Amino acid sequence: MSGNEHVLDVRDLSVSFRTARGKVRALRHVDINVPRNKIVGIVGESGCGKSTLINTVLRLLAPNAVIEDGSEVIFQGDDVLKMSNSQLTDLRGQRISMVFQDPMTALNPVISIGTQMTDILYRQKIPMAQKRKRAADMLAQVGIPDAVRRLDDHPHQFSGGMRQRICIAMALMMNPSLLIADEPTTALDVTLEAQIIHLMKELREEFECSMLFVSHNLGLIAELCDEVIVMYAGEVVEQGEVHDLFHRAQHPYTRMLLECDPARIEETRQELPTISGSVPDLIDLPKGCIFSPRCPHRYEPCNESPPDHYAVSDQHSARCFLVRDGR
Amino acid sequence: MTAAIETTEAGAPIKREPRFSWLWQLLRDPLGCFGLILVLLIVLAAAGADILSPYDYKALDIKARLAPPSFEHLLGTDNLGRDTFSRILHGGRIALYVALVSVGGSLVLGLILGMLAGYGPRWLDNLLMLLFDAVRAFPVIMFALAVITVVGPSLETIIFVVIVTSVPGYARITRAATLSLKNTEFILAERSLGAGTVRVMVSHLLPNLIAPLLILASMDIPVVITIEAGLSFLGLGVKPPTPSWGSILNDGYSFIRNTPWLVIAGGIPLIITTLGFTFLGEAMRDVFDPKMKKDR
Amino acid sequence: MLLYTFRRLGLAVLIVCLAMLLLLAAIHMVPGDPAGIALGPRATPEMREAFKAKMGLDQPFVVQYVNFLTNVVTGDLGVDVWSNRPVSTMIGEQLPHTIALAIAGLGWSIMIGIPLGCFSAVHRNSWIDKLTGVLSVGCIAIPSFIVGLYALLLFAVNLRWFPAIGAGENGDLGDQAMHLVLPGLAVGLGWVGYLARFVRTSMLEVLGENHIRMARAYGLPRRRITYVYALKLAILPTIALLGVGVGGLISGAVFAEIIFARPGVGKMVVDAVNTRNYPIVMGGVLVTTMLFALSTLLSDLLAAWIDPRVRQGL
Repeated sequence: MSGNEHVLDVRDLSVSFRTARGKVRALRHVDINVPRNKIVGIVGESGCGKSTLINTVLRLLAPNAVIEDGSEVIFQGDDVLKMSNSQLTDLRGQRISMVFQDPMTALNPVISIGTQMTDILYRQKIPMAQKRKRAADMLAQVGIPDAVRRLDDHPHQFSGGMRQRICIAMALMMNPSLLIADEPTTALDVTLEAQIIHLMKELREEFECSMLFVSHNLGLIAELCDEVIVMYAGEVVEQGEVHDLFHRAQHPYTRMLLECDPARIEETRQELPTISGSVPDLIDLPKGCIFSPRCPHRYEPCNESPPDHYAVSDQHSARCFLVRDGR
Repeated sequence: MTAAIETTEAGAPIKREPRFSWLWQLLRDPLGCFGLILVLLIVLAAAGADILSPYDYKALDIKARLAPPSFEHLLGTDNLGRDTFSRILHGGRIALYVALVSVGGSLVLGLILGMLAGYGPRWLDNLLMLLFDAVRAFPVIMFALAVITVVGPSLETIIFVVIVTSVPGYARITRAATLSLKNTEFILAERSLGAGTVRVMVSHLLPNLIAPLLILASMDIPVVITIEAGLSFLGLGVKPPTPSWGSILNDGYSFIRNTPWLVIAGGIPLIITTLGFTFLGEAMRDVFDPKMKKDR
Repeated sequence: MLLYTFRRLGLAVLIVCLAMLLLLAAIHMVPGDPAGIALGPRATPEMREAFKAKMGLDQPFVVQYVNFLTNVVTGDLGVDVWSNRPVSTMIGEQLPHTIALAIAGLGWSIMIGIPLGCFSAVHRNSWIDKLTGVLSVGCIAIPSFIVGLYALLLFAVNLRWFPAIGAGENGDLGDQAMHLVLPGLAVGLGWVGYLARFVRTSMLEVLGENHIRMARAYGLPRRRITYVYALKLAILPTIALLGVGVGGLISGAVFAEIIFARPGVGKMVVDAVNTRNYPIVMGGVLVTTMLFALSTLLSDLLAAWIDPRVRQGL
């Protein structure tokens, strides 16, 4: 478990937001890591803390966020949480890059694609012509035809799928060591989604970067990722190697998520299965297991204290008393 | 405490908003409160001008021409020896009178024209909108000057000019609200039940329009007062000896090298009034229309 | 873009024509005897008729309007009732002074107001932001002629830092600039408030947008994000406001020209009103209305030039 093996190591990360109602404890004691050259997927419902996690890694949190003491986000040996502003500027876009959810709003509408791309290279002291060449090369690589000429076009002149390709090209401009993709295909239709996923797979070979892939689409995660992290209400509830986790899901929440995935439903049903109940109030947390109010397998220990991470196998653990007790 | 318990005992759990909750909200905003105080101050001063004035505003005191402030003349005297303080109190009346009449007139006229444009036939809508655009094409003062050239300066001229130039603003708001209301289901439903069109429009439109129109009106009052004072300052407003803040400023300007007090005294009530109404209008907008607030 | 320009230009001409029609109609509708007012009670009916004929007020309304338009097209705005000089020449002499004043007033308010708005938005809820908020409302509320009068009193009469009257020696740019300071201050102060508030609001909106988050995630320098990526979008509504606001600016310039006894269209028109010099008033109103329409047009074109979405949709 040395820093060499993991590009990113998040240790005991807790983040809260100060609000008028009280402290919203959005992330609690999150431990995850992204090994070199692997793709790690994060799954969970909306509001489970995925975005907060990403924003913490890039230090783009809203001003009312508080990172609790003891949290560490180690990226290639440096603690992101202790970085100065200039170190952060060095980190963002250069060592860690990001692809956003909605390509329709992710690009600045009044600045040309070429300028937006070459601006990312501002840290490199090379002539403009060379920067533009690099930008055009990147565009060509993500499959934008006639890339050189299109550098002077503006975002509204591209379709949604094209824009997401541009965003990916921008993210890879500086050859980052870690690429964070925040639901990069949610806003696109299915055909485009497949294309983008295919592209990301290709680029992964090419650029040798690690990837943190956030999605609520289990199919995508299964297809693309090496490891999966399941999050629920600000906690990691299960994590493991992708096949192991999907075939031997231990946490009731993961199992229910899998049952709810329309792609995996085999028999014909009238209604789509859902998980009853809703995400707990993150201001006033239950005493025991965070999932217990919605859990069909709840038993005594669940109400007493929160469970720990219990190993299912070498690379697979779940935060559930069922695993500890072997039930 | 006891009152609260009694109402609960009476059986009806009262949970509705207190009737004057908006007023409390307004008073909680320090600037809104400040604005309200300034406005009340000006209104009371104008209303009580006859009682509060130490002198007749027309009375000349040639010996005390251009006197600086003293206990005798709180704000000094003008070039004819008239007491500035008394003239300012009475000038407030003129300012508020012009503001009320012309804002009220614009409000009513704008409401009618806006509803006509929104509800009437398409050609009428287009015609009215074109007319409004034409009116807004003038710099206001220039329009006023042109009218004054022909009609001559008077209080009525000012009111006429202000109404003509500010009707489009009210009419536009009314028109937009009418248009959006026109095709809502409950209006169609009521009409199918046989309710008269005009009655339905008015009874549903007015509650929706009161807040935006009041906000616009309270923002317009300082503008109108400024126009009145401005034209009077140019010597093209109310006729002497009627006191107006603008004409006091005009006198002060003529004698600015002899005494600063006339200019200072003439400007202060204008500043108080415009600041007061503007702060009040802003606070009202925040209270009535939180969407427009956009976190100022 | 060219087609759009022509269309917008056509619309502007139409609006100005309509506005003048409206003005003539309004003047006709209100009861009044311009000749009587101008010449005083002792004028004989013959004198009044002659005066009316000279101002073109004796003809039917439609004829007046058509005459007016044809004259305008040929550049003939009539002659000064008293001196018989062509009005167009007189306006031509005065207009540069007014435009210089407008540019000075707008210029300093843009240079202060827009950065102030940006700063307030970026440092939202800081004490500077709150102070700016209150001060800008104050600036907007206080009438420009009060600002002018107080500035005259303080800086020209008492402190004698700046000259009180006139436009300065012809050809002496430094002197002319000194004469522009106080009138420019009076005309522009309200605009500082307007711009600061307006820019702050639209800036806050833009700063919350996704692409700004993305620019930050890519580590772009803060200044570049604020002053290029965000401002370029946030400035668009402000440009529209500026175009519409030139009407108010012209009104402000009238007072500044009177207070500081500057030459200019505003002062010329006010003087003409006092002497019932109808052709000059109408010429002045026409030219300022055209100036207003032109500035609205320019602001639209500028916005289209900055925003590629609009530019392409044309």
